[in-house]
Amino acid sequence: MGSSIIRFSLLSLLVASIACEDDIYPELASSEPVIAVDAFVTNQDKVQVIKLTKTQYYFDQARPAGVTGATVTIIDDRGQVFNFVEGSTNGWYEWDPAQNTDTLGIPGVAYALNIQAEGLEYSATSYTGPVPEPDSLTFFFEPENAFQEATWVAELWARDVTGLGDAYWIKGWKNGSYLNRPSEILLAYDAALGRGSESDGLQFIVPIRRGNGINPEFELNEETNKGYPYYVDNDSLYVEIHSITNEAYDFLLLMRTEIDRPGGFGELFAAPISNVPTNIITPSPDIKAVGFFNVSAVSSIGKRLVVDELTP
Amino acid sequence: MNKSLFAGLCLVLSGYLALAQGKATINGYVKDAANGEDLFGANVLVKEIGDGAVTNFYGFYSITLPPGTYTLEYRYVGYKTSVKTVELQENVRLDVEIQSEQQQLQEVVVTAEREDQNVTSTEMSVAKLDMKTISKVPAFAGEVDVLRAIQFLPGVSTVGEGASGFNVRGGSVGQNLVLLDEAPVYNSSHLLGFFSVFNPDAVKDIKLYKGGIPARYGGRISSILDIRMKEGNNKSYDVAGGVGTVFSRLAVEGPIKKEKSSFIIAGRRSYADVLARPFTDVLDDGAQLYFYDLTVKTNFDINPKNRIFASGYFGRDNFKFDSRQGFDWGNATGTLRWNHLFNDRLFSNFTAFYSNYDYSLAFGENDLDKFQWTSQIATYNLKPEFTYFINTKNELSFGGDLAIYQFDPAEASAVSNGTPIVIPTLDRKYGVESALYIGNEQKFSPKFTMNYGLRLSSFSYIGPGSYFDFDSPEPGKRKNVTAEYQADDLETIESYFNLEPRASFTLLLDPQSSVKGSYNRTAQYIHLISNTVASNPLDVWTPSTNNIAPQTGQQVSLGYFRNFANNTYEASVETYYRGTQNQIDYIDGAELLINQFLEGDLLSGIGRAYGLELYVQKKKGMLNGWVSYTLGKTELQVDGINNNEWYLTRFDQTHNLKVAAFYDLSPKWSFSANFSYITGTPTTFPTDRYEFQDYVVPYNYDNGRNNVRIPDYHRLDLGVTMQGRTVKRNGKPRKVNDQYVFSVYNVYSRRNPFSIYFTQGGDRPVIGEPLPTKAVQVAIIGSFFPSITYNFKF
Repeated sequence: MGSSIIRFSLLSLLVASIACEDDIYPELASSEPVIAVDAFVTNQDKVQVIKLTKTQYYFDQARPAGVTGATVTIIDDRGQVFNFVEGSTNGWYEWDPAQNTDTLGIPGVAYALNIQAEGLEYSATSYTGPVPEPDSLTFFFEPENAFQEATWVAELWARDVTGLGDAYWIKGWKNGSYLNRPSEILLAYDAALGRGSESDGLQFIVPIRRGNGINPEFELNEETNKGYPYYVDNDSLYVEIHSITNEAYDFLLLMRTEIDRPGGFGELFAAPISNVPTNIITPSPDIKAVGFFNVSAVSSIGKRLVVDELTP
Repeated sequence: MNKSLFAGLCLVLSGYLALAQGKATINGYVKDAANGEDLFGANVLVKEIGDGAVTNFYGFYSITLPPGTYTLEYRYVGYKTSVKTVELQENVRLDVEIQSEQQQLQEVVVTAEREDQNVTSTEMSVAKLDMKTISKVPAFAGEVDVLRAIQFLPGVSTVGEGASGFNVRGGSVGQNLVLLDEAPVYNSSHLLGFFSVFNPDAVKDIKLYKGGIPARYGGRISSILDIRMKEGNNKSYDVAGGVGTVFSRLAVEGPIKKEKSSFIIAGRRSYADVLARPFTDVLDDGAQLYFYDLTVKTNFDINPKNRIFASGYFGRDNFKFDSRQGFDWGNATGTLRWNHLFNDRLFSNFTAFYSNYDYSLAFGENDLDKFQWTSQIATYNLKPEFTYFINTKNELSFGGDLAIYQFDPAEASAVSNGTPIVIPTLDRKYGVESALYIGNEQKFSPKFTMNYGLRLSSFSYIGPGSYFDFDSPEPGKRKNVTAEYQADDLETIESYFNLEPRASFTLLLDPQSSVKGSYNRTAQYIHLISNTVASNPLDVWTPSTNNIAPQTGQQVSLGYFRNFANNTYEASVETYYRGTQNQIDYIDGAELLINQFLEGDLLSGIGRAYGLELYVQKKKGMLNGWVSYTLGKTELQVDGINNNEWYLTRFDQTHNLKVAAFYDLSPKWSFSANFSYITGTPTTFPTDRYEFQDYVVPYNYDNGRNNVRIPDYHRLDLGVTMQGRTVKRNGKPRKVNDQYVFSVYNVYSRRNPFSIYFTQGGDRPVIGEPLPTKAVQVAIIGSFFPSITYNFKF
């Protein structure tokens, strides 16, 4: 919460600011590549992918090398085994629900990931939490102001599942394009933004209901010196809510902190760089791994903005 | 413990009283003849014995001597020496007013002021600056600034432009006690650190204790910055002010009853928003961007034995995005003081003060959907202090301090779609801090003086409120609550005690040089929680609890002081070593703002800092100024961070060089230049990247902390002051004394880095395409900044 408000307020400061930024490419300390596990799978009816890659020099802009020849399985607490088989893309391991009768991502079920790669064994555990069905998507009109062109703003109406400590990752697609900027990682803890709030079982509060991720990030139109509209007539919006574990919430929250940097004056309020945690267990402390394993239940809703239907 | 301390005190006192039989005392105040302001630190020299006294904070002195005839010299730097002859048969009250050199410019003055003060005084690791010196250092936007000026002294630094507060000898911002007329100021910065909250028009002098902290001060482990406000001219009315690029100032002072009582009232307001309004519609929706402050003080001489002072400060910064959204913060302090003379040698001062710091954030365009959050710390203090002027060899001070703290870490409320959301207002927390102290300044011989003392401090974390037990996971990870308890009103949850011995000595080697040393142990019971690159206004203060132990520190320092060329040059070398315990650091991803389990996100470790400080000042001549250099290192060791090894703090600066030069060309024109060179502050860089869900995540293979440095900082500022005419065309003196100050900050437009961050950039990633990565260096002030300020006084 804090950071978005601060950035909002600092916008006014930036107007008068003389802060400036330069891109640089300093030399970084040496390191060894370690395995990176990208294992966020869901109960959705599409091919589930676990990606095994390697870390690489920070300024190396190439796609990461895949780890091939690994064995990747998930076992649930009822004894079901999900074998992820090596796909056509290097480092991709896939499980296709269409080819199987079992269901992955049942709320209330615990899952264990096992990876045998390059002669080493890695493991992780997760748990699928409940996910609320969205009630609706709506749009409201915001007239032009000092910062923003006239726009329609989207709101996701959903009520947190009763019970303390549910966490969600909310993802949006505008006109079929995934809102994939770092600032568009939208997380909810119960109906609010963090553990502190007693928001269990409530409608998602405002910063979530119309947060970045449902609406695209503010983007300046250089010509008008104001923000582009978020949505205009005939735009479509599709939203998914993914249930995540508390540990995954912490992981994503810290990942967002690390990759969504405020820049400029906002750096005065920025937390220092630190490593994002992982739940991947390695065979020994000397062997490092990064990444995360989570099994989500997903609900979704979609809507097209047709202004004529909204303004009689 | 307290009882025996008191008994010991009585014993010491009665012993001294017996010794003093058959003697008489001269005492009184030393004041500025022009405006009646007390002069603190003035020398009173008894010629016959070659010894004397120094006036205390209130300008009071007391000397006890055998009966006889004595010649007393009153000396103060920048003032004409005044000589009085006294027939001492019985106690004599002698209030003396001395004249500033400035007031007698027409005359040829030969002063015999004590220019070798830095060599002879018992104080070391102390920087005393008067406003005359401070006003010479051109700061940002041409404004005179107290905190900017002290950063030109050795051992004092800041993380960068835009950082609130300052760092002293490797200590953090929260380890400095900043006092404004005794009241602690919890956030000393306006406009995110560009200016300090102290209005230079209302400040009389400042004193910064970097080490050798006397027993009368406590509560922070790094330094004490004691800022004294002017009492106000008790002879005539003065109006002073200035119109600057960023803000304007106005101060009015004058007598209420001539020579008995006076007042000063001083205010400032920034007006970037006012100036910007015609050029932008950004501010039309009720947006605000300004700060203001108001400083007031008054005093009454009730009779020769009693004086009363009342002073207050109120300041606020406002950053509003529109009329409903934004954030604001500010300090408020109030001080009431009573100076009372119990007898000719027992001086007392009772202070009651209040201090408050709070901020609030608001978000949400209407009443159906809004979020509000406030945080506050308030303190109520009572501080009795006594000085007993035993004889010319001993000056005993003793007293106590009682503080009640109230912490409101976060009071948040939110409404979602018309439904109020209970965001648990974090429990108010309470603490009581108390201390007793005794200290003596003793001249063992004309060459050897010691100042020694003891402070006993205690802190109780008290109810009402809930408190917690936490588990002990592996170091560096979040601690989880294992039990919650409820404390009743005034119930003591946890108590801490600390004995804080203090000592310093001066050994005069010859009239031009001395060796000084000091030791102090200090304890700190309240903590500034800050995990950003620089301290900022949203940092919260939190008390020591059953889970957070008080910070303690010990410092030793040793220095050599020498003056050259008939006191034209003043030079010193000081070294220090500081060891600290219970230093606070944070787990990765710590939630510090609205978190009732904050203690679970804190880590505790030890710290060490050491360094060498060099200082050379040229005090006389058309070209004057100083060079200060600090070589230092400051580190922490906290289990769970940097693989449990020592790491540099974020404010570690290996080299810190400051040069301030002033050239007085003529009475009309004077020039100033200052230059800073500072080693880049430590930061953490990643080594690698990996992709996760099509984002690029930075990764540090060694999991190190602060393992690299940002590029060095250097900057040159120039200033020109043009005095207005002193006489009118018809030859009569002008009533108004005015000047123009032209200055350029960051003359060669260096983009001094504040921080470096790593990012995949702001462009929307294209799925399937390689993701870019880069590092971005942020400069808060990226170009030169010229300004003009007009100052006046009449």
